[in-house]
Amino acid sequence: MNLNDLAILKVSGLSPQAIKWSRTLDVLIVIVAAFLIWAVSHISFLLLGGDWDFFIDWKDRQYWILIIPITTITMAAAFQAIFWNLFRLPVGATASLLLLLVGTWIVRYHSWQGLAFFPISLVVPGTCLMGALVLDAVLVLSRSWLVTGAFGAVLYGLLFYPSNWIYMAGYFQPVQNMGDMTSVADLIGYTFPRAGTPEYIRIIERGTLRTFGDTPTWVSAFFSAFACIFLYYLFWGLGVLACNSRFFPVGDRFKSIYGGKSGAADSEPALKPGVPS
Amino acid sequence: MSLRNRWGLRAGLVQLSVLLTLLGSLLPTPAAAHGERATEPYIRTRTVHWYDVTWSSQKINVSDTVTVEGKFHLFTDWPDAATKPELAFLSNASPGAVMTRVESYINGMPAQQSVRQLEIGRDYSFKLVMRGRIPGRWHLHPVLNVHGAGPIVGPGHWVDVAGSAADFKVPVTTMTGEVIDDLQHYGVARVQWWQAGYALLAIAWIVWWIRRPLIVPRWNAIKKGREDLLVTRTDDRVAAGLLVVVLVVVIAGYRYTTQKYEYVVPLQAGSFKTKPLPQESPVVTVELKDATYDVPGRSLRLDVEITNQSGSPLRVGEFSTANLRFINQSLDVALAGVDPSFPKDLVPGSGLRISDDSPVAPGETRKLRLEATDAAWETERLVSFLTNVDSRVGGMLFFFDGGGQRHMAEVSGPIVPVFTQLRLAEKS
Amino acid sequence: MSTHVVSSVPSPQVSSAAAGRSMFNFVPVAIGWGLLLAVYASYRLYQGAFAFEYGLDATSPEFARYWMTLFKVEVPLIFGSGLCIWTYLWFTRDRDVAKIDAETELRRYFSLVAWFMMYTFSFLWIASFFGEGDATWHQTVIRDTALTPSHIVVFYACVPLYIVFGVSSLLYATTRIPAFARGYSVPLIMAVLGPGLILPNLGFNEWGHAFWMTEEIFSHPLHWGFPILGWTGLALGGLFIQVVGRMAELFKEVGGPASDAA
Repeated sequence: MNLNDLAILKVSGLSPQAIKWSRTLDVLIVIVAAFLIWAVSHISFLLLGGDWDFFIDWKDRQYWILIIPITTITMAAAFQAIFWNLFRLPVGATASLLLLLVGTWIVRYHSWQGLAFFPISLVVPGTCLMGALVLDAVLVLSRSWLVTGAFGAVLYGLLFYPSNWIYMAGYFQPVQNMGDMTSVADLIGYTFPRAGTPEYIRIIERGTLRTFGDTPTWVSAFFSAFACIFLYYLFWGLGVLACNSRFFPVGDRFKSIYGGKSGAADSEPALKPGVPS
Repeated sequence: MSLRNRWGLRAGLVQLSVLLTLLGSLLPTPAAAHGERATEPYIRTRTVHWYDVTWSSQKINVSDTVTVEGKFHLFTDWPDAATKPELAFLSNASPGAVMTRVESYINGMPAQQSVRQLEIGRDYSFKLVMRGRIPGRWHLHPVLNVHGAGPIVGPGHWVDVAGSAADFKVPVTTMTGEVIDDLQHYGVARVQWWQAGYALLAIAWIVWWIRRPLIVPRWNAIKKGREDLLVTRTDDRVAAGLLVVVLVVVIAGYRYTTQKYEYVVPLQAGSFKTKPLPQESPVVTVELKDATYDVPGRSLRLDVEITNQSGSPLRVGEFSTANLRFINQSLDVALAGVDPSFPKDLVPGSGLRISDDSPVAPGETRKLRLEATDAAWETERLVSFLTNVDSRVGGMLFFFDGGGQRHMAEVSGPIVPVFTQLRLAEKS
Repeated sequence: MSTHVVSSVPSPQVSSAAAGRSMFNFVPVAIGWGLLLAVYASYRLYQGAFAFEYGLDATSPEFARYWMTLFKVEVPLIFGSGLCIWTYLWFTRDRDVAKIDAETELRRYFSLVAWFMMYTFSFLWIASFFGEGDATWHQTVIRDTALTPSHIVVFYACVPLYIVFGVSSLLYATTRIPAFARGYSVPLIMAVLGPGLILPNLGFNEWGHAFWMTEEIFSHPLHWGFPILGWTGLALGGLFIQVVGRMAELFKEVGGPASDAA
């Protein structure tokens, strides 16, 4: 407990007893928020860009680099908006990506390997965690969602490829198989067969970036950064929208069913909170 | 809440114990099919006809290989509902990665990638070399994945894999000379160490914030306009430091990696084309006049008109459809055509009954009734007429001349189910 | 830590009868989590034992015995149990909810947070654990039924389970907390109804898969209903405002004011 913490408590105007209850509530809310961020971030990513993350032989130069940042920045931005607007806590993006990474690793072990015998080398995940840290840090420094979108989101998109290439590059070494040159990643995908995922179903670069010579990765990374700006704003907006705290009147029918003794549902809600300014 | 869970758990345990008892007492056979029985009969009888399929072994040790090879014929009367085989991939069905793929070929060409523009009405050879990985008893099928039509499964056979999974390794040497001990674990530790580092940074950042008085105090402070207390100069410095650390780590790490891995290749995506196997000039034509399925008798009856256009007499030896092989039991050469390794459950013992089994003379046109009777029609779910939109059936007829030479012909057409014995009497 | 906080604040002053009493009992939540964990672990073990063994062919008698039996038992069992909880919550509703004292109201808010702890915990299992586990199944084997060993767990056990806790949270708030009894809470309804709609969304999912999408692409637009409905979980933000906003007032009302609050 430092001086700043004491100052916050002082400003909050709570009695010592209330501070105790408040700390209990802190722990409970952190747990609820963690479960929710984890769940929503994972289900969102899973069904918008999961395929490129599941398999090493989907991690291509054209789509993987584009799709992973733009699908994960959605929930990163939305949770950032919620926790920044309500509590000035710049942890939404980091928490979203960290919990997604934890959840992903758990499933890779228990399900892909544990249930269906796939080796982890086939299903190693990538992560946008470094971009998420930057997104939160820029928000702190700028105190502005507009600036965070313009700079943080760009860095979020740009950082995905280099921060993952550090440990993924080895999978793209050339190797010979049946007389053809292929990548280690392709060979892993070929060696461990998936009846429901034939080769042709992969949505990967099929030669359309030919005009960019040997640098299609950075072209994809820059496009991803560009798209991240708009998705950041869009989902920041969704986060703000989700902070709608309205109550609708319950109506006479509910009141009669409820059978309250005296105006259980009679008056307007006493509390009309709004997003703190 | 706890009541619900208690009952849920108790019921679950009771059910589990009942099922485990059943498992112990009845010992049901593990699934021999891989979902193909739910595929509509018009697809299974009129798309890919697998033949001459052999398995090199049914008992292997971990790390040993088993080769499945044979041919497939792409049926001319391909159903509308399934996309034509413009893009396909040779695969296999097995319960997860219990066996690994070592090599696969279509017409002798490496089939790591998908194959384009397969021709309807033509034949192709295939070869799959699989390696035992997880000990157990696995049903191994060849599969042709057809883009837009889904996986079309070939005949499956049990393969026993003995030994220990720990002995399995896939060593590889890259073209740059790096020796990979085992493809199963390659690169995993490197990924995990780096991501653990990233995660530690993230955890430190989150803890930096949530260790403070959190929800209600911050809420109240915002209401009172004291945001300055919530994000301080120290926080600015920490955020700036974090930004620098992230950028330095990523840029330095990336530079180091690109220098370390000088030669990298993108994922390989090109498909290949191959010409079909040579086609023999047609020596026999088959016209389906009438086809009925006797529901109570579980018998398929085909009234066909056969014209022998070859120079030698021909006999009907086999009717093959949806991986079932009905063999003319009185024709030795046809019986000999069933490889000893071929799964017995796909060769019905009653065989193929032919109304007139005498050789069809050169130039002769003859009407024949072929009867293929077996419970397999039901168990393989090939006669679900009442639920299908396309009540046509197809199959391959194999003819043999006096010298044992085999000739194939397609037969297909509408099929009429006969639900009662009375109607059956009328038909016959 | 909280003890330290108390001693660190100048002029501690507690003006309520509730002083020194615990507002929240973690034990029921821990028991609830434990039981749920046991249920989910059992499902995972069951899948491990029987999914690939008897689940690859939906037409086989073994499939009927091991998987369809589970399906036929779990759906009525979970929804039946849920119905009991919902009935209990409704019939024990506080008909005098507008008149409760501040301390009771604060305790009920803590209880509502406990319900959220159950709800979000149960949602996590479909959204993360069994959700991606579903990809393990459908991207590696041949799809031959809507009721696969994966779907029987993820859709027909995990979804009903979190619906039970979601609706219970809604019912608890509506029947016991004045603000939620006076008006329908938009974010709470969103947070409960949205994920709940994942169950009927299965109709769209399976209808789409009937169009030869036997080979799985998880990111296919056919599946986008799931993440979009999952996003309704963001309504937690609005709920925070409703719950935390009122609790902040109650803390002052029940805990008494700080002597020298700014």
